[in-house]
Amino acid sequence: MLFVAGLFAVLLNYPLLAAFDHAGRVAGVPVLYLYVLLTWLLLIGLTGWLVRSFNN
Amino acid sequence: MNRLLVIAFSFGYLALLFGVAYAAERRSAARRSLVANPYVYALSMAVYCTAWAYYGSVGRAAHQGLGFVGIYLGPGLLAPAWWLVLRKIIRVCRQQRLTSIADFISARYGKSAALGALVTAVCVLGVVPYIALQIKAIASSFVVLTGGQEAGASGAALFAAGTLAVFTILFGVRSVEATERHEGVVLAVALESLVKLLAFLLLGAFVTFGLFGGFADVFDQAAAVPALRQLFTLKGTGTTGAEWLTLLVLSMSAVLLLPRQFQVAVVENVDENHLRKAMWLFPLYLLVINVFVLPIAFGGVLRLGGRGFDADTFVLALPLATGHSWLALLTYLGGLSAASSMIIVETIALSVMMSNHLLMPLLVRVPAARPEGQRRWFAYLGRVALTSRRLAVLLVLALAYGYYAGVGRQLPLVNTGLVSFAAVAQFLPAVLGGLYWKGGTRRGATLGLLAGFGVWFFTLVLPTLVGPGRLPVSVLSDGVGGLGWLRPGALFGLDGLDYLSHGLFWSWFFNVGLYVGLSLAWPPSALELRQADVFVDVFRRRSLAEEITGWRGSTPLPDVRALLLGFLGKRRTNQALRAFAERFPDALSFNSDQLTVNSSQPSPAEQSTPNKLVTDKEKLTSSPVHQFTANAADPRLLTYAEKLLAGTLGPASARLLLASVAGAEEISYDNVVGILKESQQLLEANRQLHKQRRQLQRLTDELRQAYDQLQVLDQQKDEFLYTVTHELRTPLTSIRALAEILADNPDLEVDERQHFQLTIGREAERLTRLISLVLDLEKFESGQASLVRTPLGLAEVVEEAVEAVAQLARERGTELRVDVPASLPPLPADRDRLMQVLINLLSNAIKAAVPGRPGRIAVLAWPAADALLLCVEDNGKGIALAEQHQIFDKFFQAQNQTMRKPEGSGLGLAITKKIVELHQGRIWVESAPEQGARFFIELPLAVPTRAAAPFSPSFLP
Repeated sequence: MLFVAGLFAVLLNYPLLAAFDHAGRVAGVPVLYLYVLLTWLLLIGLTGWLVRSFNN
Repeated sequence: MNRLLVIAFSFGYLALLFGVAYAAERRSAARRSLVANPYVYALSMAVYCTAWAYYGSVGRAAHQGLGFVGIYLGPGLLAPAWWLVLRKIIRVCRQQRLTSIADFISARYGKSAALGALVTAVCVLGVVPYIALQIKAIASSFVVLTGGQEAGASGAALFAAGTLAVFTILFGVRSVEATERHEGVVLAVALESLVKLLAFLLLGAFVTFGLFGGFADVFDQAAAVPALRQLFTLKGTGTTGAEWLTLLVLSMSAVLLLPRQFQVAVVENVDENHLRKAMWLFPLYLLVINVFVLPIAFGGVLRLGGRGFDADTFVLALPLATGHSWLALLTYLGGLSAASSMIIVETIALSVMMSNHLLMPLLVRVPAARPEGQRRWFAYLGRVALTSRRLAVLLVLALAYGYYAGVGRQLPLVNTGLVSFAAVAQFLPAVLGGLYWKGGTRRGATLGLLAGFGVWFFTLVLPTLVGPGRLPVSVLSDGVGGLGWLRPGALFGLDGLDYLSHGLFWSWFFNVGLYVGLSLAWPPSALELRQADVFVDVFRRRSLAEEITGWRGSTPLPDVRALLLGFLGKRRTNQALRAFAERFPDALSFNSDQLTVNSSQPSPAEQSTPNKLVTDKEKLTSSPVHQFTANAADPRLLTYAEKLLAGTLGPASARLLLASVAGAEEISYDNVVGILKESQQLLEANRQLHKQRRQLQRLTDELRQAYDQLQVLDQQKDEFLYTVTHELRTPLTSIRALAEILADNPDLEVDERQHFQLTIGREAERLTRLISLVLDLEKFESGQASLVRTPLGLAEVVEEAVEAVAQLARERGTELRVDVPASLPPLPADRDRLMQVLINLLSNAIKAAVPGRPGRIAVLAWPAADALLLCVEDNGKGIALAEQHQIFDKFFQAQNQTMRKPEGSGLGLAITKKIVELHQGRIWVESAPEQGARFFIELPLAVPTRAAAPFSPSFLP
C-alpha cells in the first residue's frame, strides 16, 4: 500500500508530470487532463483491488 | 428567480435535513443504525468538498486550469496509506477516548493543557475564516439566483447561520460525552454529500452534453480561444512544480487534520474495517465530482465571458443564462449542501475543542482554592460543559458571520481555504511525530507549533491585511519596518516561490526544526514517555492493564464515584463502573463478603436498563460500587475514570480533575523506564527465543538427515553381507557337492574324476578371487590402500592388459583394437592397480558383447591438458541412462539379477572406481542401450601434493 502511494506520488508529480504537459490532445481532450484523470483512476482501482485481496 | 421560492426551497431542504437527522437518531436509539456501514462513512468524509470546492473549483479552473485538482488529488494519493496512519489514529483515539485534534496533540505530549489551548486557538483562527467563506458562498449564491441586490446577501447569510446553529446544537451537541457519535449529523452529512454530487454531475452533464456536444466539443471550442488554450497545460498557467507539490502536500495534511475531517473520520468512525472501503470510495467520490469542473469552467468562459460574471458563479449563472432555472435551483441546493455540511461538522468539532481546551482547564482549577464546595462544583461542571459547548457553537458561527460581514466582503476570500489548510498543516509534524517517534516532547511540539503558526500568520495572513485603511502596501514591497528581509512574500530573501509554497516551506522549516531540535535537546518527562509509549505502540498494547498508572491507590472510592457522577450522570456512571468490574474483577473483589449482605438491594442502574435479565454475576459486580465506604480505589480504576472524563472534558482537564481528588499523578522515571526497558527486554528475549528455536530446528533436521543416512548405510551393509555370502555360497556348494561325489564314488572313471577335480580347483580359485576382491574393496573403503606410483608408459601397460584378455577375446570371437600412442607422457601410477583397472574394463567389454554379433573393442588414449584420457569402447548391449551412475555401486549387477544373467562378481567396477579415485582421477561412462558403451578414465599427469584420498569410508564391516 505504501509502495502504491509512493509510486503514484511520483507519477503525479514533476518531473514526470512535465512529460505530459504539452498542448497535444487525445480524442479532443488535452493530454495532461487525460493523464492525470486516468492515473488517478488507476490508483483508485489498484487500491480497491489491493484492499479486496488483503481481505481474503 | 422568485425570492420566496428560493427561500422556501432552502428552508424546505434544511427541514429535510432535520428530519433525516431525527430519523437516524431514532433508529440509532432502537439499535438499528443507518450509519454503521462503510458507504455512509465514505460519504460523510466527503464533507471535505465544501462550497469552496463546489463553486470555487470552477472559478480556479477558469483562471488556472488544472491547478485546482491538486486539492483533491492529494487525499487520493494519501488514501492507500490510511490503513497505516488513519487506523492508528482511530485506534489511539478510541483507546484514550480522544475526540479532537487538540485532544490528540495534548494527550500525546504529556496531557498538556497549554498545548491543547494552543491547538484550539490555531484551529479557531485558521478555520473561522473558512466557515465565513461558506456563509459567503450561501449568501452570494442566493443573490445570484434571485438576481437581487448585494444588500439581500447579509440577510440570507444571517438566516443560514442561524438555522445551522440550531441544527448543530440540536443534533451535534446532545450529550456531555464528546466520544458519543452523532448518528443524525453523520447521516445528514452523508445525504448532503450525495446531493451535492448529484447536483454537480447533473449540471456538468447539462453543460457538456446539453450546451456543447460532449467533452471533445468543449475542448475544441476552448482551443480556439488563446486565453483558454493556455489553460490546457500547467506551463501555460504558470503553475510550477513547487506549487503543484505544495497543493498535494497541503491537501494531504488537511484531509487528516482538519477538525471536521478528524470528526467524521475518527470520532464518528464506527468500525475500523470501514476504512477498507472508504480507502477507495472516498477518492473515487473526489474524482467523479471533479470530472466536469473543467468543461463547466470552459463552458462558462465561452458562453458568459465578457458579461461581467465572476467565474465562481458560473455554476449557477450557466443554467440561469440559458433559461433552466430549475436546474439552477438544484445546483443552488447542492451548493447549500456543501456549505451547510461543512459548517455543521466544523462547528461541532470547534465547539468541543473550545469548551474542553479553553474553558474547562480554567474551571477545574478553580475549586483547588475552596475544597469544601468541591463536590457541588463538580456536579455543576458537567452542566457547564454542555452549555459552554452550545454557546461555543453560537460563538463560532457568530465569529464566522462577523468575519464575513466585517472583513469578508472587502477581503478577497478566494484563497482563504488554502490559507486555512496551511494553518492546519502546522499540526502535521506533531501528529506524525507523535504517532511514530517516541522522542517527541511537549516543549518541542509547543514551540514548533508556535513558531510555525507565527510564520504562517506572517507569510500568509499578513499580505491579506494590506489595503487602504489597514496596512500600507510598503509592508509587502519593503518589508515590515522597512527591513528588506522581513517581506512576507520573500522571507529572509527567499524569492521565486509562489506565496503558498513559500509560506508552507518557512512555517514547516521552523516548526519541524524546533520540534525535532528541542525534543532532542531536552529529554521527555516520565509522563511524556508514558504517553509516547501508549501512542506509538498502540497496536501492541491491548488493554488498560498494560498501561503504567501513576495514580496512588489510596484515594477513597466514593470520591472517584462522585466525580464521575457529576459529569456522566448516575446511569452512565453505573454502566461504566459495571463494565470496568467485568473487565477487571480482581480490582473490585476485595470486599466480596460485604456485598453478599447487601446484594439483594438492586441498584438504580439495573432498574433503568432496558435489559431486565440481570444475572446474579452482574449484580455481584455492579453492586459493590454502592457499598464502598472507606475502601481505596484501585489505581486501574483511577486510570479508567480519567479516560472516561477525558472523553468528556479532554485529557488535560480530566487529569487536573482527577488530581484534585486523587492527588497528583506521579509517574516516576524508574517506573516508565522500567516498563519500557522491560518491554524492550521482552522483545529481545522473544527474538532470542526465536533464534534458538530456529537453531534447534536446524539441528534436529541435521540429526534426522544423519539418522536417515545411517539407516541407508546400515541397509547397504546388510545387503552387502547378504550378497557376499550368497556369492561365496555358490562356489562352495558346488565344491562340496563335487567333493561328496568323489568321496562317495571311489570307483569313478579317471576322466570323470579328473574333470571333477578340475572343476573343484576352478571353483576354489573363483572363491579366492572373490574373497581377495572383497578384501581389496574393504581396504579401499577404509582408506588403508596405498599406491606405489612409478612413471609408466601407458602404451606398454595397455599392451600387457590386452595380452591378458586376448585368450578370452578369442574364445568369444571379439576383435580387439589398440590405439595408444607410445609418445604419451609418462603417467605416475601404480602399475598393478592400473593393470587391474584395464583388465576389468576389457573383460567387462568382452562380456558385454551381444550374442550372434561379432564384438569389437577399441582402447584409445590421448593427452588432455594436464591429464591423460583413456577410453575403452565396445559395441555391446550398452547401459540404460538410468543405470549409468549405479553400475559403479557394489553388487549392482548382482542386485539386478532378474534383469540379466550375472557375469562376474559385481565388484569389479566398484573397485575400478576406487582405484581411479585413489589416483585423483575420474571415471565415467557414455552409453545407450544396444549402442555399445564407452568407459572414460581421466588420470592426472602431476601427482597432487595433497596426500589424503578424497573419499570417506562408507562403512566398516
